[in-house]
Amino acid sequence: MRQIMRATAIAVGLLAAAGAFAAGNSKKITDVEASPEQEATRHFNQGIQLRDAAWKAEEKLAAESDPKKIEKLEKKIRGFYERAVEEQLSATKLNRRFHEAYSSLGYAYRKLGDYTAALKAYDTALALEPDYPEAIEYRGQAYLGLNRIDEAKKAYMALYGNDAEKAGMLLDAFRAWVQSGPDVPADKVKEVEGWIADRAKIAGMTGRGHDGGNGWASKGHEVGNGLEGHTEGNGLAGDAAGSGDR
Amino acid sequence: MSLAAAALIALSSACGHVPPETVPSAGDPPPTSEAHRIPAPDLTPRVDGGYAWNLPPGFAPPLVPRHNPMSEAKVELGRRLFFDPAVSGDGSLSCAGCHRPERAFTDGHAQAVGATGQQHPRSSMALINVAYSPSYTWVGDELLQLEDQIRIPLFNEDPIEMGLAGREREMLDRLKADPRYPPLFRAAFAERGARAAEPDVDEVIDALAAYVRSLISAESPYDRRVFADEAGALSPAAERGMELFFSVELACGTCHGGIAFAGPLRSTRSPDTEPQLEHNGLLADAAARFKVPTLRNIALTGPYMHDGRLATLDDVLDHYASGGVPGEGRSEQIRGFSLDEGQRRDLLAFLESLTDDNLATDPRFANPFADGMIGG
Ligand code: HEC
Ligand code: HEC
Repeated sequence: MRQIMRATAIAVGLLAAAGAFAAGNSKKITDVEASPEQEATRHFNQGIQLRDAAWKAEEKLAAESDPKKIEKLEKKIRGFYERAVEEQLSATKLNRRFHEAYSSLGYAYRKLGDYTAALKAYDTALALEPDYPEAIEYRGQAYLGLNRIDEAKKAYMALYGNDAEKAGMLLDAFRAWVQSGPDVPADKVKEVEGWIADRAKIAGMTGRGHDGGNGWASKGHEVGNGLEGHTEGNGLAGDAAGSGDR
Repeated sequence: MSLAAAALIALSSACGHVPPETVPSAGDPPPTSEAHRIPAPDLTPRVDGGYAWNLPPGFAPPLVPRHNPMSEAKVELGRRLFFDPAVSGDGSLSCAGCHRPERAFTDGHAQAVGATGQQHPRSSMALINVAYSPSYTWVGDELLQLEDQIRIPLFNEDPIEMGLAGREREMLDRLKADPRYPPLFRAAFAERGARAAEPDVDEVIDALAAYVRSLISAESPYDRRVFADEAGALSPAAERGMELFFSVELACGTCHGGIAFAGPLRSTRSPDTEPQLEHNGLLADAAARFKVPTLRNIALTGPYMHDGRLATLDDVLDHYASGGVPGEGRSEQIRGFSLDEGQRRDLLAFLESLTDDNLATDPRFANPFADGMIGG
C-alpha cells in the first residue's frame, strides 16, 4: 500500500508539472446565439478562462514565500480547476461530440489529481476524434505519470507523424520521467533511455531540410518548423490567442 | 527532498520556465474519482459521404475537389475503368497498361508507349500517394488537379496515349453495352438520378480520379521502423543507409522529403502548398527542372528519371555521386560525394526498404477483371 501511495505522489507531481507547460492548445471560440452547441461552446470558453486564471495564479505562487499567502493561493488554484471541471462537464453534457471539451475536462481533472477521471475524459475525446493531438499528448503524459510506458510510447507514435511539436513535447516528458527516478525496475528505465535516444535520432534526421514545405513531414521537435496544426473540419480553426503552450 | 519535488526540478531544468505545481500537495489523501460524472459521448457516425480513407499513421486526409467527393461506389467504378481497355479510343489500352500495380503503377519502359505504338517522350509515373501532389506530370507546374491531368492520357494526340479524341461516343457506347457498368454509374453518381444510367466523359474522369486518389499506401519496412516503432524492421545495412540518405553530405532528404519521399505535399493540413520543380543536375539545360518524384517503391519503378535514361539504382547513385552536369540551373544540394562500396550497399538497402510489398496483392488496388471476365 505504501508503495502505491508513493507512486501516486510521484505521478501527481510529475504529471501536474508536466501539464503546466504542455497544456492547452484548446482554442477560444466566439459565438453568441444559444443553441445547445453554442451553449456548450460558451461553457467551454469559460472553462478555458478558468484554466488561464489558474495558470496566472500558479505563476504568482512561484514568486510567493509567505506560507499564509501560499496556502491561500493554493486554495484559489484548486477552486479555479474545480470550476473548470464544472464548466467542461456542462459543455460535454450539451454537446456530446465536443472532443475539445472532453480533453479540457481531462486536463482539469489531471490538475486536481483525479487520474482515473482524467484518463476517462481523454479516452472519450479520442473516441470522438482519434487524431486529436492535444488529447493524445495529454493522455501520453498521464500514462507516463502512471508508469504505463508502453501506452505512453504508443501516444508518442500517434503524434510522431501528425504533430511534430506535440511529439517533441511528449519526448521531453519521457526525458523528465527518466530523470525523476521512477519507481520501476532499473532495466526498464535503461530500455526507455535507449528508446528516447533512438526516437530523437530519427526525429532529428527526417526533419532535416525540407523546411516546412510539405506541412506534415515527420519533423523533430528541435527543428522548429512551420507545421500547420490540426485545424481542419472542426469549425474551431483560427484564433488560438492566449492559449499558447505551457 | 521528495521524489515528486525531484521530478519537478528535473522538468524545470529540461524545459525552462515551468509554473510551480501545488495542486494537490503530496500529503493529500488519494482523491476519489469523479469519472462517473463524465457524460457518455455521442459516437453515432457523422454523415460525410461515408468514405473511409484508411490512412497510414501521420497521413492527413488528402484535399478533394468539392465537385468530386469520394465515395466507395465511385472508387469502385474508377477501379474498373482504370483496368478496362474499353476506355481507350480503339479499346486496346487501359490506364493500367502503362500503370501496373505490381510495379507501383509504372510500366517498366524507359518511355511509355501509347495505344497506337507512338512513344511518349517521358516515363510513366508511379501513382502511389499522388493524392498529395500539388501538381502533376514530370514537367510544368500548371496541372493542379487529378481530374485535369487525367484528360491528358485520354485525349492526347501527340503523342497518342489512349487515343480517345473524337471517339468519346464509341467509348461511352462500349461502357453502356457492358451490363456491369450502368449499375456502377448509378451507384457512383446517385445524385444525378435517372440520368446516371447515361454515363458521360466527365463522370468517367471523376471516377478515375477518385480511384487514383484512393491509392494511398505506406507499409514498407521503413514505415514499420519509423512510424510503427518496430525496432528490427530495417536491416542494419538499411539502417546505416537511412543515415546516409538524410545526411547533410548526401542531402537526398532535402528534396525527396516528408512522408511521401517526394517534393512538397498538399493535404487538408497544408492546402495551400505551391508546386515546386527541382534541377538535379541531370541535364545541362538550366530550365530542365522536374517534379521531385516519390522514392517510395523505387526498387519497383525502374528505369529511372523522367526519360528513363538511368537503368538501375546503381546508375542513379553514380549520377548523384558525380554531381551531374554543373551549370546555372543545378540545385545547390547537388554537389557530388564519394561512397565506398559498403556505403553504396547500405544506401541501396535503404532505398529497397521503401518498397511496400502489399501493392501487388492489395485487393483495394487490384485489377477487378483478373478473373478474366473482361478481355485485355
Ligand atoms: C501510354 C501510357 C500511359 C497511359 C495509357 C496512361 N498514362 Fe498516366 N502517365 C504516363 C506518363 C508518360 C506520365 C508522365 C507524363 C508527363 O510527364 O508528361 C503519366 C503521368 C500520370 C499521372 C501524374 C502522376 C504524377 O505524379 O504527377 C497520373 C495521375 C496518371 N498518369 C494517371 C493516368 C490515368 C488515370 C490513366 C488512364 C486514364 C493514365 N494515366 C494512362 C503514361 C500513361
Ligand atoms: C535538388 C533536389 C534533389 C536532390 C538533393 C536529390 N534528388 Fe533525386 N530527384 C530529383 C529530381 C528533380 C528528380 C527527377 C529528375 C528527372 O526525372 O530528370 C529526381 C529523381 C530521382 C530518382 C529517380 C526516380 C524515378 O522515379 O525515376 C531517384 C532514385 C533519386 N532521385 C534518388 C535520389 C538520391 C538517392 C538522392 C541523394 C543522393 C537524391 N535523389 C537527391 C531531385 C533531387
